[in-house]
Order: sequence, then C-alpha cells, then structure tokens
Amino acid sequence: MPDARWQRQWELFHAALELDVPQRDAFVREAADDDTLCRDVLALLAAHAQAGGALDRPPFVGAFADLDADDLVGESIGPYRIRRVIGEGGMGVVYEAEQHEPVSRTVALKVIKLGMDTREVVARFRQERQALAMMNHPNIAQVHDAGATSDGRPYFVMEMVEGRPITQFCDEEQLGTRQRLAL
Amino acid sequence: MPEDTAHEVTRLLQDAESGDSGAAAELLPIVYAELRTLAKSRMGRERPGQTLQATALVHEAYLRLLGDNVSWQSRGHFFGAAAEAMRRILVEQARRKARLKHGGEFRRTSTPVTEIGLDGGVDVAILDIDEALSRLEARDEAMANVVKLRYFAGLTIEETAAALDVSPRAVNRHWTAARAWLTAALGEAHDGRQDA
Repeated sequence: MPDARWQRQWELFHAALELDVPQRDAFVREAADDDTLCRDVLALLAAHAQAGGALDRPPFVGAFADLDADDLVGESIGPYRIRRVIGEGGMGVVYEAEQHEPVSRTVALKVIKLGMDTREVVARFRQERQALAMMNHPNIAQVHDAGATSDGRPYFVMEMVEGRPITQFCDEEQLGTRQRLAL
Repeated sequence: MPEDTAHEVTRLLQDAESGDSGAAAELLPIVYAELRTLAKSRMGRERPGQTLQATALVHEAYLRLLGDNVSWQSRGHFFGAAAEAMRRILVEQARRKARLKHGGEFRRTSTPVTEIGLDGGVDVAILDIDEALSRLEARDEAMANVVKLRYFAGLTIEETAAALDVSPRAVNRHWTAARAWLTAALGEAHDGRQDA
C-alpha cells in the first residue's frame, strides 16, 4: 500500500523536524520501520537542510517575442511548411501552409494555440474538425488531414479557399454555435 | 480591453464558487492570455534581455482583473488558474528555447530567431521542476497544489491557506515536505535515482 508508506514517511519527517538537529538522524534510525524508509526520510531531511534550492528562487519570464502567435511560421509540421498567419481566434491560429507530398498545394492549417490545449478546448476543437469533415458542400472548405504537432497540440488541414476560411470567418465575426451551425 | 476580460473573470469566479467546475476550467485560457499580453507589454517597454519575475506578473494580472471586493475562495480559484497558466508559459518558453538551442525537431527554414532574455540555468530548472512537480502531483495532489500557489503564483503561506481554505499550519507542513521532496528529486534527477 504505497499511500500508507507515503503518509508514514511524512509522519517521521515532521516528527524529526520537531527535534533539535543533532537528534534527528538517531530518531529516524530508531523509529523507521525498515531500511528503505529510514534512508528515504534521512534523504528528505538532508534535502530540507539544503538552502538556496531551485524552489527558493522565483521563476522568471523573458523573451516573449519568441512566443508570438506566429510561432510556427517558417517551421514544418509533417508535410506542411508554415508560411504565414492568416487568422487568429480565441483558441486557435490559422496558417497558410505549403504541402509538398503527396501533392503540391497551398492549404490552411489550424492549430490550437500554445497553452490552450486544455481538455475542454481540445474537445471543442475536435467537434469543429468533425463538423467540417462531415460537410460536403462547394462553399465549405474541405478538411484534408489532421494530426498533432511535435509538442502535442492538435491541428487540422483545410482546403485553402479564396476569402476567409470558415473557421476564421466564424472567429472574426464572433459567431456563436447556433450561427456557426446555421452557416 | 481588461474591462471585458475582468467582467468575464468575475462571472466565471462566481460560477466556480457556486460549484460549477467547468467555470474554473474556463478560467485557465483567459488568465493565460492575460498573463502573456501583460508580459509582452512589459517586455516591449524594457530593453531586450530583460526578464520579469513571474510571480509579479501574476499579481499584476490579479490587480487588473479582480478588485479587493472578491472573497478569498474566489481568489483561490483565480490564483489556481493563474499558477497553472504561469507554469505552462514558463514550460513552453523553456521548451521552445531548448528546441531552438539544439536545432530542434522542427526544420527551421526562415525567420532567424533572436534569442533574448533568460540567463542560462533558469529555464532548464523550470523543466526539471515541472517534471518533478508532475510526479509529486500524481502522489499527493494537496502538496502539489501548495507548491503551485507558492512557487508559480507567489502566494505567502497565509494567502495560500486562505486560497485553499485550510489552516496556515497545514500549508506550512505541506510546503516544507514538498520543498524537501522536490529538492531531493531534483538532486537525484542528475544521479538518476529517485524512490523516496
């Protein structure tokens, strides 16, 4: 039962911290139920005594220029080379991309934004992709392909149409679900 | 622009407080976007190479999006989302930097990247901390939550206690334990053993 062991480890750790430093090790050696537990608690006490660890320094943020919406421009995702941003919505960015294999063509590639890949957003994104894939109408962009980027964000690839891609249109016009369905 | 976002955040916090778990989840992308916007506007004003303290950003976002007339329980939801958002921002930033440094899994064909900011070590440490924290989260969620609020959102022991609705003593115990466990885990990451 790993949970009980975890609890016991912290019981001993906190009990040892109540004592003066020179008495701690002896207490743990005496009280620990087995050698592994004894070694683990002693290691935790040693770590506790370490000052200036990674957690004692506040994290810093920098270089936000690198994190712009067009973070993928110039890069390749599978057979697609990203050329430029053509639209940006709440959860996703639409890029114009060049496909080389198996056919050469220009496509629109929509990918979930960095940090937006929460379960809810991913589910909504899948629904959108599914809805587009099911539609077969000359005025609606065809979904060609779908996948995930190397950092795990889902994307899908659409036919590049004259004018705005439907998702971009919806995002820019801020259409609600009902309006999107009507469209 | 913060006006609308502030209203949205206040509404979501109220929903979250009345038990709507979906509302709490919806906070994350909003707070994430706000933190990035804020960071970008700050960085734009400073010289290249400048870095910002992450926890200061979280507090600034808090001041912009929430007033003082918000219950501490609501603030808890906010800081929970902000801490997670900041964690993602830092991890993403560190991954991206590591990717660029090592040539990465992407083939970069144009747009030379100017690397600015972040003195060495820090971002690498973030990836190690994130990884260790995920392991701690799997074993002890309460402990991990304290770490997130303290480390990524910069809350004090008392503020963390109020946000989690537990006693400061409980927070202190969890923080002491988690700090020791993570320090040991980070140290042992280099020797390649960790079984405590």
